[in-house]
Amino acid sequence: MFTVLFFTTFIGAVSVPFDTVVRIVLNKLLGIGDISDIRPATVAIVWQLYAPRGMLGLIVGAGLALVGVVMQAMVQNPLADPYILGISSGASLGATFAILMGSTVIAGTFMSGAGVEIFAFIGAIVASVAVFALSSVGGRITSTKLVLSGCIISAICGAFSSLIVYLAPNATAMRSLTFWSMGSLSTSGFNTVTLCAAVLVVAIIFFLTQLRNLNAMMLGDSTATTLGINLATLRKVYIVITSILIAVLVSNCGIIGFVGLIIPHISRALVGTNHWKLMPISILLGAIFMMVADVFARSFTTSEIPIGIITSICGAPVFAYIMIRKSYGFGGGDSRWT
Amino acid sequence: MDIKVTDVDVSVPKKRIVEHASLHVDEGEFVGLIGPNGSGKSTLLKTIYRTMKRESGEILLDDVTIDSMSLRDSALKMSVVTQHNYYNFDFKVEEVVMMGRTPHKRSMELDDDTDRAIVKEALEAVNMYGFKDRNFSSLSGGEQQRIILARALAQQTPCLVLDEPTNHLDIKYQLEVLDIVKASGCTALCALHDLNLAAQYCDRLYVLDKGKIVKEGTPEEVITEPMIKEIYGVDATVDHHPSGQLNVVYHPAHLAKRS
Repeated sequence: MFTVLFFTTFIGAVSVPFDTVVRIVLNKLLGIGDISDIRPATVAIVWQLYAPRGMLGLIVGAGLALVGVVMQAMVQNPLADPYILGISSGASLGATFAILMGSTVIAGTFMSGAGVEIFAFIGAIVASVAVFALSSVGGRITSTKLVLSGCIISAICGAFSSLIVYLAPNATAMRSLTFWSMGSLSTSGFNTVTLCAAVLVVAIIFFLTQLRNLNAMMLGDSTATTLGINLATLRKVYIVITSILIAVLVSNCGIIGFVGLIIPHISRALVGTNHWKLMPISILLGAIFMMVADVFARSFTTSEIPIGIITSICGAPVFAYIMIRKSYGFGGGDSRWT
Repeated sequence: MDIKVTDVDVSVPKKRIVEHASLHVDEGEFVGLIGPNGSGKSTLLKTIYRTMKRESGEILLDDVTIDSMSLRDSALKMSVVTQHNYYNFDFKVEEVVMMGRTPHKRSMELDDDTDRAIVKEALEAVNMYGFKDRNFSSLSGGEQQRIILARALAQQTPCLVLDEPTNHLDIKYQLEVLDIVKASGCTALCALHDLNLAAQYCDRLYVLDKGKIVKEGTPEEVITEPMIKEIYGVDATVDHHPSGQLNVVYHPAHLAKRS
């Protein structure tokens, strides 16, 4: 993983010699060596542009994969992804609001860039709270109610986003909105990276203590209960933690699709459903996949392609291959199919 | 350990499914629950193994109310075998059985040699050790049922609750599954459809009809021609096989016409 991180650091629009990169990174991280002979501009590009980007890719990939694994276990559905609880649509609504209305309403309050992130975060959190509240109506939270509540909230948020777009036609803002919704690792300084990393580390540590419970959850509500798992409480805690993590990631990087869906499946095809192996492998693969995707995103053309496009283009065929391969049946329970 | 159920009512919106049900299962006893489809057998069992809530009444495990126990506490006392086991994800057989160890482990604790030995023993008990590396979903219904029983055995509880454990099984495995339960010495509460099996394995029987327990006693006392006619609406002859076993023979309509 760190090799890939290193590798990604020196691929970009401006090519920097490999040894220069190594020297800059070593100097900045460990204070080794002397970089006074390297042009400050080069140092800035490597340290302020490429390095945070690579690390953000690592964090986002790991985070999305982690949440993907948790969501699939929590709702016992192989089609679940990190956005299934309506978080992405909530964030979109927030971002839409900030980008399209923001220029007039809140221009004085926030710089436009920071405004989008904050509103996206608020939107994401509000959406997950709404999903949570809706699925708790009438007693225990069940996986079906969670998924349906996610659909409902997504629909509502989607409708309001469209309404805002419709009422405030603004070509420039529309373009930046489209770009935001496709996801990007750009505009990431070390502050963003630190925040995301902190939340991710907390989430990883928490879920590493939950591997046994996640396994039991996969067997369904009733079996998990008879194995002594208190699903009602666990679901609530899991939703809170995953929502915060995803809200932070989405608000900083937009919606990067497919990673949280396919990485858990690819990992399952490699090591099986047991979370003791699945979780670490997913986090690792997610991080690597994301960093590689980002390299493609910024090296194909002089401007950069939104990374969401890359993850879907690369991810879909891999996913198709796994589906066609006979040994991985997604557990559908239909043995003739596997 | 023993189970005591007193005056339990269970309802879903607009419908009462179980009404004033009381039963008890004593230490080491094998108690059967019989009754037609929709009589509330599964609901009553679910209330006991805590996936459904009761409206009123009391359920005691070893004289302690289940309300004061954590789910983990009750999972250490009671393991459950149900008829429907379908998973959206594919686990290996061994992993499914290993899940039975869940209530015994802290969340960060790894499976150790003791756990693996228990799982091996449980798989051997149901004659499925050779299948341990297969995918659960690739097994036949009967094989899956035996794996679920193995998981319950690996849970090492003093009590087993079984809901139609012999469904999908051919006659050999029907007998085998019930023999395993019997041999385990566990206190067992088991819903059964087959009256002959109920007669052969159960120490006592409860008959559930329209949510109420209408009859209880030894198989000899409970399984009678009038009971079968009244509860199931089926004509039958109950007699004793030369071996001494109770024997129920049904008289379906097309045969009745002929005679």
